[in-house]
Amino acid sequence: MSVWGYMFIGLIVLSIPMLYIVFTGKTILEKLAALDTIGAMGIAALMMFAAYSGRNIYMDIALTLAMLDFLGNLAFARFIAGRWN
Amino acid sequence: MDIYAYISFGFAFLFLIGAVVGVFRFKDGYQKMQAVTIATSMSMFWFALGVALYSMDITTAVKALLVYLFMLITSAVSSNMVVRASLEAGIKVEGKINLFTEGGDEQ
Repeated sequence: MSVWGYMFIGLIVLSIPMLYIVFTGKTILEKLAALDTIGAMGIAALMMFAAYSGRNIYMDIALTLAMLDFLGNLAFARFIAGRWN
Repeated sequence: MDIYAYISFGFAFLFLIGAVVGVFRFKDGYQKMQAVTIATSMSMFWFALGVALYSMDITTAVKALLVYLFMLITSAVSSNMVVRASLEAGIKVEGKINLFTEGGDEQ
C-alpha cells in the first residue's frame, strides 16, 4: 500500500470519533463542531483523490461540497435561532 | 516534489488531529467550535499546498487555491453565525466571561 492509502485510512480513522461525538454530544454546538470537522475531511479527501488520480474534475466537486457545507451551516444557524419563516 | 507534498499532508493531518483532540478535550461547545474552525482552516491550507505540489498542474493548483480561499471565508462566517445564534438561543457559556451581562467578567 502506498502513502496515499495510509492517508485515506487516516482520514477515515479520524472521522470515526467525530461521528461518535455527533451521536452522543450534549449540546447542539458540540455536534455542529464535529460535523464541521467531518465536512472538512470530506473536502480534503476529494482534493487528495484529485491529486492521486490526476483528474482535476474532483476539485470542482470539492468546491461544490464546500458551498453545500456552508449552506448547511447557515440552515443550522437559523434552526438554532428558531426563525424558520 | 513528492516529498514536499507528503510533508504538507503531514502538517495537514497534524492540524486535523489537533481539531479532533480539541473536540474531545474542551469543556464547552463554544470552545470546541473555536478549536474546530481554526484548525480546519489551517489544515485546509496545507492540504491545498500539498495537492498543488503533488500534481504540478496549473489548473489543479488554481482550483486548490480557490477551495482554500472559499473555506477560509465561509468557515469563519458560518461558525460566527452558528455561535451567535446559539448565544441568542441561550445555550450556557461555561467560564467567567459572559458577553451579555453588564459587568463583563462576572457571571
